[in-house]
Amino acid sequence: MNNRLRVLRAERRWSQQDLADRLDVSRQSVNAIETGKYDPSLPLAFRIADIFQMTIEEIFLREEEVKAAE
Amino acid sequence: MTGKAGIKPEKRRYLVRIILAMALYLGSLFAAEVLIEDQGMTGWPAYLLAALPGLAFASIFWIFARLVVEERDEFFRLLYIRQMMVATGLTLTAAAVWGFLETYLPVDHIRAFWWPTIWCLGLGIGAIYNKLTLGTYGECA
Repeated sequence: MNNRLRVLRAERRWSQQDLADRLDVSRQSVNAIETGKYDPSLPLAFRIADIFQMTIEEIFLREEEVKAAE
Repeated sequence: MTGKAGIKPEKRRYLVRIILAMALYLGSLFAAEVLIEDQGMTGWPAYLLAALPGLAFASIFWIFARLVVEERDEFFRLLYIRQMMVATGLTLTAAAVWGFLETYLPVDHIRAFWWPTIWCLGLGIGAIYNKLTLGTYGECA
């Protein structure tokens, strides 16, 4: 699943480890989510949304949205 | 999760359990060699002692299962499950194929304790599979 995690993180000048510490997950988890190799569970997606003070839909993109943007 | 340094509690428990299991395995193996092989122990104590190394080895399955249950990082849980699936698939496939080879062809017999050993090697192959497909070996490669 595509997402805006890398951009949002970069805007705040956080490293993957910084975000991982805030989420209480491993840096590898953040990397896997950012690269679309792993889709987080709903509870983790909510934690991510809370940290960025956004909704899940603003961070994680539906496939149709990605295709429409292209 | 653990910050930049330190070892996670669940990982520490995993390592301690592995060390204890291996100590029990080596100790019981040594005892079986001395008491059964060298001194000729017989009867139910010999059966019990002969089963102990196998039980110690089998505790690896319980230890890895506990790691999956106790791991707080959901991505690592996925990695461990995939490792176990690769290891189990490889081991059962090898056992099934070798069983029929033994039945129909003049190949060497493989003692059953090699199958869990192959399963442990399969965990390593599973970790490589994780690295190739998900970009990381995980923490228990």
